[in-house]
Amino acid sequence: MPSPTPEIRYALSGDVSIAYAVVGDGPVDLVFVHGFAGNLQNELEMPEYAAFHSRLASCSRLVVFDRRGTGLSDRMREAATLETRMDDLRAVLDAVGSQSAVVFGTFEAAAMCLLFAATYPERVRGVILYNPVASTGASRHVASDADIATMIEQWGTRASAAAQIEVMAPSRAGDDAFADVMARHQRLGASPGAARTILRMSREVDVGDVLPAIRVPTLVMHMPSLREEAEYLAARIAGARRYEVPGPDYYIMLLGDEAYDEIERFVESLHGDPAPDTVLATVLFTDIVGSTARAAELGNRAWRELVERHHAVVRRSLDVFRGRELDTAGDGFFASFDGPIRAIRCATSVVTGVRDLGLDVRAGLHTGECETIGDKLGGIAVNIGARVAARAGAGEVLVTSTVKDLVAGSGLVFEDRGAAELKGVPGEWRLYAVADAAS
Amino acid sequence: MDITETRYAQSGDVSIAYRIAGDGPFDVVWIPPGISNVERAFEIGGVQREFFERIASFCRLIVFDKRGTGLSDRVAGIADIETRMDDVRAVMDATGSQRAAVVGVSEGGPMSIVFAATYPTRTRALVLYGTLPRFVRGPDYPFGQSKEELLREAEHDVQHWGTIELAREWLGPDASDDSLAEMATRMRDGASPGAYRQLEQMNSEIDVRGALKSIRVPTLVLHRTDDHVQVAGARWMADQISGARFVETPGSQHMIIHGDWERIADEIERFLVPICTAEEPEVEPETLLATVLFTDIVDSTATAAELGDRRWRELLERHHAVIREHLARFRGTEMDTAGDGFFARFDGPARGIRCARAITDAVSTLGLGVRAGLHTGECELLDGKVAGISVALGARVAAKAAPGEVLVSQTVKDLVAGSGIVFEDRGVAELKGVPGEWRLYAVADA
Repeated sequence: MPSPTPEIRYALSGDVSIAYAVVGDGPVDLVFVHGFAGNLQNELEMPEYAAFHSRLASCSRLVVFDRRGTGLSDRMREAATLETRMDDLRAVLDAVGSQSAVVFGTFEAAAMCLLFAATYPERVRGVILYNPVASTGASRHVASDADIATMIEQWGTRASAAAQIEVMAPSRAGDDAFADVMARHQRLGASPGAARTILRMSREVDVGDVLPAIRVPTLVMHMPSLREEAEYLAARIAGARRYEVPGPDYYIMLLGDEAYDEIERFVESLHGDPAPDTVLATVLFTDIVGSTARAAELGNRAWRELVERHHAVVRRSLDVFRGRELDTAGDGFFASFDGPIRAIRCATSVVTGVRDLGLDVRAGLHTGECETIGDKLGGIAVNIGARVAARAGAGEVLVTSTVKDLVAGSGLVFEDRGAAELKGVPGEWRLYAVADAAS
Repeated sequence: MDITETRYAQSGDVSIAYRIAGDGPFDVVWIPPGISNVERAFEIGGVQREFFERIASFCRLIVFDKRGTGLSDRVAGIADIETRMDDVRAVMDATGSQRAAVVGVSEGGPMSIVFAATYPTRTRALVLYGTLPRFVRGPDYPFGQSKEELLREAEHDVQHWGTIELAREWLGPDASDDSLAEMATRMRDGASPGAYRQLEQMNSEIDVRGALKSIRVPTLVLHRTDDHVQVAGARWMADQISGARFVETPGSQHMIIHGDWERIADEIERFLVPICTAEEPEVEPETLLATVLFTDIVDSTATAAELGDRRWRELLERHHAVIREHLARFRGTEMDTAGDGFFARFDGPARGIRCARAITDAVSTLGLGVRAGLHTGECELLDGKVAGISVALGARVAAKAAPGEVLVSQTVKDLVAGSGIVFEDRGVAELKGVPGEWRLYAVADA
């Protein structure tokens, strides 16, 4: 381990404290995101982690942190959505003064790292994934309620650690002392309730639709038994490199020199940072229903006043939910968000807010890769958003399946509206209405 | 020494981490100070382990992390005292401990006090170290800091959580680099900054003075002379507990494992061993701390006359069914029905209040208005029934409530800090047949 022992500090994400530490001072920032749970304090003390930290820190300024709900960070009762976790990652990067970093995530954290890279390409130099679980498109094993109950029952026992070691570190199988170390690490990382929350949440995560929007260099590493998911992802990320770690041990901190060399080569290859010209965004379109008839009925002056009040309501909601107004076309709005949950909440608040004015709006949302043209956004994803809005009923918020898949854990409920064709857009699109948007 | 692997007790859907050290002839449940971590506590070579091993040399020591801290589930929001008491009972049940000596350290003191008063059958003896029944000064309570001071200090701590600087403030300028680093680690392991803020918020509100006189188990109050938690407050507290022994030891350290901890351990052993190894007489305790709830239908005579006997009887039956359903849900025990009113008791006041509110809401859908009153105090136990002045007080409080209102005494309000229940001050009242003046509070939004 590089000395002196790195100090653990807290970054504030909203009012939630996220524990982080910086190891080493290499030329490139590299932030490591645990797939499940860890405990910084313990990792900085565990000899097992020393080689991992010192290898990564030799080629980078390594930033490590405990995700919310685990280790030394604040706890929450409810699951953290992908969007909240992106906010946490940004808070950590801000706290350490990192403009752009290589983002390194394992298992289920891969989904958040990919979404982060697509959403904030200007802050991501490259992505490293290890044993990623990110898409239901590959045949991935989804834990049943019974599986989860069993895992929680056995949480932090030597026996369950020993069973895991047989798979993840066969060379240490039967080593009771190591089983104790890993069981303890499990307990220090997450309490049973926290573990249950993460396990349930991870079943729903799917960022498969985001993969084409990744425009940064990506390295997908995996152990032999998890090749399928890694291949699926690597095939859908432009220019991604896939690397199968040789073993014999597969815990991230026991991968060994050959795998760490691969990471080092990848990090060192990331010199220069071309300005990104695409970004992942959620676009929102709204439109007043029956506006021509209403305008005729009210007369010009009254109608103009009503439209102005409508605009004020929409802009207030955009403000609250951190949306960016891109255009108004007649009596409709086009706005973008960096998170789909905030976008949906904004849309429902607009629908409710304008109803008090006696108006009905339809709203549609899509999340996709957009071209950045100056301050504006363009591209097919924007067209899709507009088409989805056109399909919405009065007072309805309609979203694509892409949006729905990204908001797992948010508590938002959807009603399936079936598959639709969207004018001018190839393929079929499954659409969902946000439940109770009208209430 | 045998120390078990960390396991978890289930308290509702929350996991509470615990470990057991030693296998002595009686059980000690260790109620930790503000922050703890059962994994770190037993680290080889640490003073904490040495201390626990010393305690466990004469008992079976059960240690746990309070919800929100250490290895237990770190739930959002502040837990009130009765939820924390439920956690203690869950740990005792999980470890097969019927009855234990309870040792409450610092922040663990108030909940230990209420636990001993509420569950005398599960508490063999009580030891309180470095603690007070209330941590902030008040008009009639000269000990502790002002509330503003406590909250300001807490915020300062939150901002500097886990730093060497804060460790130095806590341990003093003479502390070694090693002990500073260890303290900083202990903070981070014990609680995250957000959790610590919530803990201190609760501590600024908690007041369990009302439970002191109800403690009927042998009690030792142990305090270091120059602890920043004033020794005068501890002495006053010992005076309020019937038969309590007060022992002052030299030193200025607040943390039990700092300074001359052997002396502290000696005192605990000397006190507990004779009491806890004596033959236990199997008698029901005569008194315990309980929350009593009285409800009464408003204008029942007029309504009965209006409806006629048969319909009134039917309505009354539905009223009774609704109340019994809610008593079951909130773990209340029905003591009596007097005409159209109920008398019930609870082992936690927050549950009592929640039950009362649910009842007033539910019976209003039957077209009935109910007044409800609660008091927490020492009650005599007679064949499973409770009696005494506290019971009379509860009835008088209920009589003062307006239709649909839940009215509580000051004691109840002081005990539910952290529950999120909001009160409106209803001023001072005299209660028929009860000496003194009583400040009453209405539960908001009842």
